[in-house]
Amino acid sequence: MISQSLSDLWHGFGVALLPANLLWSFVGVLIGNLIGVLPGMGALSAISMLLPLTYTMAPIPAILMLAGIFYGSQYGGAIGAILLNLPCHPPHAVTCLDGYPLTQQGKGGTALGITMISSFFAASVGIVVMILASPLLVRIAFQFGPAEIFSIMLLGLLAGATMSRGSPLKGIAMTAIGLLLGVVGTDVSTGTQRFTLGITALDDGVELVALALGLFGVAEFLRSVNRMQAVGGSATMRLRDMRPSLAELRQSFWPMVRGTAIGTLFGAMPGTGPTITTFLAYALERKIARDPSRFGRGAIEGVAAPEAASHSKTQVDFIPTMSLGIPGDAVMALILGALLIQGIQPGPQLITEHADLFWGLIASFWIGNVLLMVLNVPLIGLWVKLLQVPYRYLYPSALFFIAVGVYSTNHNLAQVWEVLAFGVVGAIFAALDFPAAPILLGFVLGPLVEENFRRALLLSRGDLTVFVERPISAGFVAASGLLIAAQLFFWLRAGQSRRRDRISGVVLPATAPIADE
Amino acid sequence: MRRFPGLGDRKDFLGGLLILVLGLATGVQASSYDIGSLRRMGPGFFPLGLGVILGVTGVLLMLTAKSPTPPAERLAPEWRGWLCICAGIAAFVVLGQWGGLIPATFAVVFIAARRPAEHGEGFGGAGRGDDGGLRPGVLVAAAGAIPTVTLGLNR
Repeated sequence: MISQSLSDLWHGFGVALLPANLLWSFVGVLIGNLIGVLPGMGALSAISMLLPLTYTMAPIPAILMLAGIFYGSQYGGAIGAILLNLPCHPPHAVTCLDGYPLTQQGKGGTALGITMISSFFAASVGIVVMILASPLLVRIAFQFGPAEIFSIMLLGLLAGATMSRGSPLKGIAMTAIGLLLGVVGTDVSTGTQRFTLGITALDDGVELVALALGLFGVAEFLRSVNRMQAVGGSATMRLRDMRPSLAELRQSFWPMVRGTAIGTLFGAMPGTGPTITTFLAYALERKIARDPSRFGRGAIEGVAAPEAASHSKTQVDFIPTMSLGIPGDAVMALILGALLIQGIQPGPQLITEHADLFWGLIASFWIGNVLLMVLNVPLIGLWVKLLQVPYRYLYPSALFFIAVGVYSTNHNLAQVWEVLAFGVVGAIFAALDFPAAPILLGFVLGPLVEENFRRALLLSRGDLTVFVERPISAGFVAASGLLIAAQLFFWLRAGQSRRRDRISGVVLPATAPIADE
Repeated sequence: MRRFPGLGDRKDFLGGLLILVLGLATGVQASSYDIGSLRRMGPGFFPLGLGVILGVTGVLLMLTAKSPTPPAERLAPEWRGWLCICAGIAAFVVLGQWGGLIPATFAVVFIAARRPAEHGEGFGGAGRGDDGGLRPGVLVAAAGAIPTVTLGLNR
């Protein structure tokens, strides 16, 4: 089975190295890196802005480019986090904790070098895991009927809603809103117009690009207008600064390995976001460190572990997305949406039916990561300059790209209204501390969830026990139950300790539980 | 431990209320479609379920709203900035409809660039000898118009 995988992978390298595919992969990595570096822009806005471009491309280059944008922007985000203390992308918030103190000590270059090495290492491990795990998963996945698909999606949605940072109830509410947005449009089996509010433009449903750009582009601008501090730091970076010493390498080797392990573990679990992964990796390092007080003051381990975790998670995340159609987070949901638009149905048959796409993608990950390394060595100086682009240039141009991007999707101006509407709605939700990412997850999965729910109950003649009678499905349902039980437990325990604190008169500052460990 | 929910954290409480209202609206709208039975579901079944979930979550959110915490730092509303962003996008649609993409491009960029640049520096960044967002506007719009035309998007 492994030899089959290896020969498929060999074929994949052939696909990924075709000049056209290689070019798109390179373009994706370059643009992703560029957008990721810019303050206030993360993988989500990068991918949703460029999604319309891929509609006219063939499926393979389109997916290769989107994947390239994804890991390119992730890497770019780390640069802003380390050099300027700007967490452009939530998972990098942890990297700031120790990355920026390192910059202040004049060792920002070393931190970037370590970041580069650990992301490359972690991505390579993630790719190996993908190669080993995919054939196994395919065998299991072939036993999946509608009931199993519904239960695993339920688990993924619940995990996405409750395991991100913030209130789990709010996450659940946002997931339901996303599912509801997925319902909008013409019902496939009866032709009924649902929730179109009499607007003809909504007959075909809500446009994915408009939703994503509204929630993560316009809403973000509405929130950050005039609140982005201009960055005056004039950090210069030379190639020589980026080479870590042998001692620093040795110091960050095990954190790198542990971070990779955490990322791999969480990547395989559908619905767990990247932020929680990086926070866990950081917390673990601090817990086992001989001198935990070094953390937060420029410990190189505090950069290596979370960066490794986020990159290995990125790679492994593609397994549930491609083979089961369950995206791990909002970015994966966008990539899943792109696959669906290209007419490719993710699922166990994807690996066998679209072998060139799947293995080509895996091969391109590795090639893309090599490209990233090669690209960042000479361009690091340019990225540092880009970080200082004034916000007043940046954001009108981003707004322009959003408007034109959405319009060009279908040459439909009505969808630009959609962007504006979702932007305002997203800003209101954000102001009330609701997370936006579960909306996208729910939206992409919504139609699939409904279809499989209906089909499963049609097959079982309306018998709801079908979801617990089949062993695989029962496992997912049990896991969902456990997840809810665990949340209830934590909530009750937090309530108890709050009450205790009130009695003893101690007022604790409200902090995120994970970041505080 | 819990007092009257209306006196709790206004943010959580308002959020819960919003979700409850959305859930109710969804439920009402969904029940106007054919619900069907578990065995053969109609188009209204799934949305009705979502409406119920939303409603329950909304009520739970309102009940568990935390007691008010002292506001750390209240950020002043940025009406002008918000208006500029929204108006920019709206202008793109309206001008795109009647005048093609080039005027639309300039409109979105110019209106969006006319927001105050930094705190306490006057509107449009004029406080720093800037020209009210004119320079970034022209640069960005020109840069944007080129691909718009060359890529043949101006249909």
